Amino acid sequence: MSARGDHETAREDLAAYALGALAGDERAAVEAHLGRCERCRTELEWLRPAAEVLAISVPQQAPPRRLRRRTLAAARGEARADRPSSIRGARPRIAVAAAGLAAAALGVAVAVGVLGDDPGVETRTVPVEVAAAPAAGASGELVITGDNATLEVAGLPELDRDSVYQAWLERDGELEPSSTFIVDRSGTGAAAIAEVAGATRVMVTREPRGGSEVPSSAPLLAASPR
Amino acid sequence: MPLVAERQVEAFELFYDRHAGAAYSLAHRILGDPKLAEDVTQEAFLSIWRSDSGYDPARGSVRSWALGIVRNRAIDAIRRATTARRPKLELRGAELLDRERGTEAGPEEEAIERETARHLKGAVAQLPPEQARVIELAYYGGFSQGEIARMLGVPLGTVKGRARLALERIRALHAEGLT
Repeated sequence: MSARGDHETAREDLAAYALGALAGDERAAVEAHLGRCERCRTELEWLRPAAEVLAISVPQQAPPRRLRRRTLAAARGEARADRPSSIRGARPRIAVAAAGLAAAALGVAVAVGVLGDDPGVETRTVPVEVAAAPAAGASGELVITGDNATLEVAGLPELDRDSVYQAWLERDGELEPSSTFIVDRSGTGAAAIAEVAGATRVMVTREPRGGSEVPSSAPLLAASPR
Repeated sequence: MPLVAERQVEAFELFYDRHAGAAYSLAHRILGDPKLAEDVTQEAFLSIWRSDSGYDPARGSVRSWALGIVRNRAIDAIRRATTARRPKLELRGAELLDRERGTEAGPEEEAIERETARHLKGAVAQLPPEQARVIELAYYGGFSQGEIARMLGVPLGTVKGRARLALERIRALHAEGLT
């Protein structure tokens, strides 16, 4: 399809995209277009708060106390379990944004430590290639901004609850673990990849939940950031 | 437990306390069932805890990110629970349309926190009926725009147009503090 036709189609679908009402192939097309069209990104940013209004303008109900107990107990149990520390460090973690009462008073007790945005840094995109049969039909892009990147994939098989996809960085012939991610039911997913500068390849494998320190399977996808 | 893990659990507790009310309410609105809403809320928070769902600050606030995860998981739960998917989902679509037509006052609604309910009368209620229908089916029903066009018997382009007008209107009302 022509660039213009591609733009018009994506633009018409932005509202449904913000509402989460696109079928998988439509969603993948809009996401691919958003990666290269600033006008559509800006328009989506304009529409997105309306979807947030829909999320909060529902009858407010107090969650049962047992839900808090259950959820926090499960989190505590997982925190105690032995998981690779380097993976924990590499993944975006929920962290206390600022200590003490000042943050609580602002109502900003929690933030998620992730890659920052720097409008002054150039962004470039490299394609993600299929490296093994289980990922046949998958596609994706590695969007690199400065030292960091976002890996966006489509068409990957959905995983069971005990598995995740994990990204790896190949640097000086060695593999370093990076973020884990899952895909939604349409096969679409994304991961933030920190410290991509200097890496010769970015790869994706399937790993047990929590991630691994060394890959337990052959790469499914690969991209060359340089 | 190591100190780092301890701090992460504390941060997660704060995160839970700040967002669980909105998350559970949204799940309840979509699923119409307190037990299912509980399961989905727990699932969503634990996926956030595990950082399986990456947060990108360029895509909005932490709250809208978290509620987006809740919404998607609630919709997934509907689809999982519906074995013969298409016919039952379309039945559910009819139910959603009835709900939006104003048959709202059930016993569950009595549990609504009065103040919040007064403040948030429901963005959908302020839309023209044809736009409200599209929003109801798309956002709370989890139907794709193609499915909605078939259910309502209108062209796909009409659904796209209504979805956009609805979001633009909600955005404007919100900016005026009316939602």
